[in-house]
Amino acid sequence: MNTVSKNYRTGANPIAPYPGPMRGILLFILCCCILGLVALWEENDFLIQDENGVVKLSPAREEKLDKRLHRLENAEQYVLTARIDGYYPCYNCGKDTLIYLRAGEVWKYGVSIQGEKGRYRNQLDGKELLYRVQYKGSIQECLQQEAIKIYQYALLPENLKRNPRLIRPPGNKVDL
Amino acid sequence: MRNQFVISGILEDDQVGDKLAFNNVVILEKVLSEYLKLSNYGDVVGIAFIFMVTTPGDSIHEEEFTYRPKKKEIYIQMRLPYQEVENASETEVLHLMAAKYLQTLEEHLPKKKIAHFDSARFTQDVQHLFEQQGWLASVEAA
Repeated sequence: MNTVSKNYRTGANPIAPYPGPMRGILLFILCCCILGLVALWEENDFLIQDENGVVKLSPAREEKLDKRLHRLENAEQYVLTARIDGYYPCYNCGKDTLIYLRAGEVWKYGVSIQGEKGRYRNQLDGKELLYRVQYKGSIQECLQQEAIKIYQYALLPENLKRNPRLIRPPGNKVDL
Repeated sequence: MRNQFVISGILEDDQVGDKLAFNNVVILEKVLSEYLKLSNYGDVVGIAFIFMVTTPGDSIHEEEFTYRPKKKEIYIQMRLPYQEVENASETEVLHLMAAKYLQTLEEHLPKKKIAHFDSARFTQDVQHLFEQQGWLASVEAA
């Protein structure tokens, strides 16, 4: 074997070919296919036929509906109150963006249902606020309570002593 | 998170909730913030502890202990039994809160295995702090 063929042997230690972007693309397509099949299976699984040929919801969908109804029946109306005396954001103070609240004064009314923990969480660790449960019932009842409290807020002593008075609590951007 | 230590509550809007609302959450947060610095223990920048005191059967709020690695914050929601708070004085409630705070750290921090945070030393310092305040003793003894 001459020097040139020693240095440029093609049979030994071949360099692995660079897989290129193709492998990643193929993997992505495979994942999409799997997700698509799962979604398709779920979409086609929502109805079943009983022994009499009557079409009805699948047990999985029935269960999901029951859970949803249970959650809507178990709601609560809450108030977020100032934890300490200080300045709080105000969405109803005209040009002013802050309002001075004393501890215990109302910042916002709201409604929670099971599984929606994210809605008030940032308010509790981001602002000096406490969450107080005022009413428990169905979502309908809680929304009614919330509306009543938002409208009646204007009549609270803590608001009547202000000048100018607020139409709704500082933290409620709209009536409902 | 507004502070390195945040103490707040999910409370009934009644006299039982008032036992935490007006003084105790403020006292606990103030003492933790005054005596401890999270940066001394590592990378965690905030710990929020939300005490839940709601009537039995509350299915909306659940206990949790979450670490958010991106923000390096710990969010905790733990329940104090409503009846126990109802039967306790305001000072006793503060002791219940301190005990729950410490117990939660002891139980959950080791499981989380938070990188670059000395959980054991932090928990120990919280215990010493609460002992110094007399919050881990029974109210009669304190």
